[in-house]
Amino acid sequence: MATNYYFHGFDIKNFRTFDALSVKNLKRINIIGGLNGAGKTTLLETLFCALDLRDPISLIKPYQWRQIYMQGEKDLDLIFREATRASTLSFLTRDGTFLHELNKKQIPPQAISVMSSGNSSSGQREQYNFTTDIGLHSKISHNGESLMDKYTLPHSYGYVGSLNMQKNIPVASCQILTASLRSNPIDIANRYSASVRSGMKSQVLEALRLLDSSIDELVLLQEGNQPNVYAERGGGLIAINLLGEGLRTLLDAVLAVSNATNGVVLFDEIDTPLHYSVTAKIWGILAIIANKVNCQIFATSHSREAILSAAAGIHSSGHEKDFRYMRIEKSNASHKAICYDYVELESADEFGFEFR
Amino acid sequence: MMAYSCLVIGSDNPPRISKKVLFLVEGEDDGVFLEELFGQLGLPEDLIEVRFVKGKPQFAGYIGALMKDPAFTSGRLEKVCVVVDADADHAATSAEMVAIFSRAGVHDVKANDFVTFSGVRVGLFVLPGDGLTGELEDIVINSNFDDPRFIHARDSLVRFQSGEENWRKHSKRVVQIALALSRIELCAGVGRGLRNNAFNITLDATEEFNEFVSRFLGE
Repeated sequence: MATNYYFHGFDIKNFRTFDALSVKNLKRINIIGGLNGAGKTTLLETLFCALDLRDPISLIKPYQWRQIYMQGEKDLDLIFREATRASTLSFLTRDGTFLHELNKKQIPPQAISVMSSGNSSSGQREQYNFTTDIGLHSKISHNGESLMDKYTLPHSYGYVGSLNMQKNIPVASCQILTASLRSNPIDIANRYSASVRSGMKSQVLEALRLLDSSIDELVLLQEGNQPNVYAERGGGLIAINLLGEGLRTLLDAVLAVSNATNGVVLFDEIDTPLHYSVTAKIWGILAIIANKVNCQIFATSHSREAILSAAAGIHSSGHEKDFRYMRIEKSNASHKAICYDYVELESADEFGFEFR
Repeated sequence: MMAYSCLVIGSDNPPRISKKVLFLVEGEDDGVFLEELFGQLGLPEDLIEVRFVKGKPQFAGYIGALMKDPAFTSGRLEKVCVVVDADADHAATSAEMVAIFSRAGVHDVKANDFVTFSGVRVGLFVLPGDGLTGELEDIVINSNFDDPRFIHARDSLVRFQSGEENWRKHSKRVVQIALALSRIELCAGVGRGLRNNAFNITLDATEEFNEFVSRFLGE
């Protein structure tokens, strides 16, 4: 079980900000650091895309999260480091090797015909006005066997995609949490219910009490059609959305991990609202839960304190072998990942070396 | 002479590596000594940084961490050299340091030579060189052999030492007595003794090291 987490390595070429980036020997908990613009968040989004196989416009999604409005054929160039070359993304996973080959090219008429008669994300049938037949083709193979072709084509106000699946294989679940991508109250309620069912209630409460020791219980109330989670404190109830940013972030993170059985959770700088004095304990709890449910975690951070706290917390939980820190380093156009285990990070700290 | 720039290690004051060449030594006084020697050799201050690691056992962790520092991984740092005392056994000390480098992934390093690792020149010098045993203090003693303070220091040790007794750190004791007999601010090591002008060293006494440094810093 110890190495049965999903991603074991990846090799990215000519994709978004990365000319080339290759990392092997990933661990269960991978903390990612690096300067602004080094590609930390892009790496999380790339891992998300690797698991978002069945969404034909998965490569466009991260731009939507970042509220970057893409339109037309030209904007598809953003997906490539150099638009004149193909991108390849190779992911070594517990289920084998997945290779994504991305090209900007003419989309076959059959694929366009599927898109023309397809459904929008709202479930409404829409007619798209295509201005070009040049789009994005993702050819995805699994252990050398063709798995699917995904096509993305610009229309007059966005993009639409189609999927031609040759083989159906199960993939791990994946959730990404960023400052702007947070779970809504219904998701929180559903995940809390699932955590209670799977015996994780005490760990969820233990984590929340690190920030607020007066929380007695979490209570799920059905209000109209909407379930809501409340914190019970001294006999009174307070809606989760009225709790501080730190508590809501922590609840979201703990529920994400405890519900990610055999899956992957991606955290983008979620340590910002958390006080440094509790982050080590939080990481200790997350490490225990991640081991229990076989979840793999990737988390970005800028903060020296947060990185060291994560290492210390995971170490004190007895899971230091699950820990890896990687600094993404960018020089000119090239990237590399400098990886540290717990002892190496401890040495870097002890001798005062830079590792962020 | 070089300005004093030997830095204290530790997370309270994280040092950023800003120069192109880094020399690592065991102790702070060793660092001061090296800076003074580099000053005598006329090496430019803005090129070389000297750091100490607080004892030989710390080299393993220090070198491992250094090799992941952005200065090293980005190629900003061009040359790194470890300088250690041979102590009682030149061969054993050399083997110990080679093993430390090897654990950090740098293979084929030999004493008093250098290799290129990840684009960075990595060197090792075991003082006093030429397979001899000894410490920095021996270089100072040899350079000041006829100085009355050193003659008195040697005589005193001999007078209070019984025939069979071989005191540990004999050379250090000689230098400490000589320093105590000097009209300078109190200091306990050869580096500060040199910096405070308690004595000089002749470049002949460090000839092999000087030649190594010249090769190491060269193209």
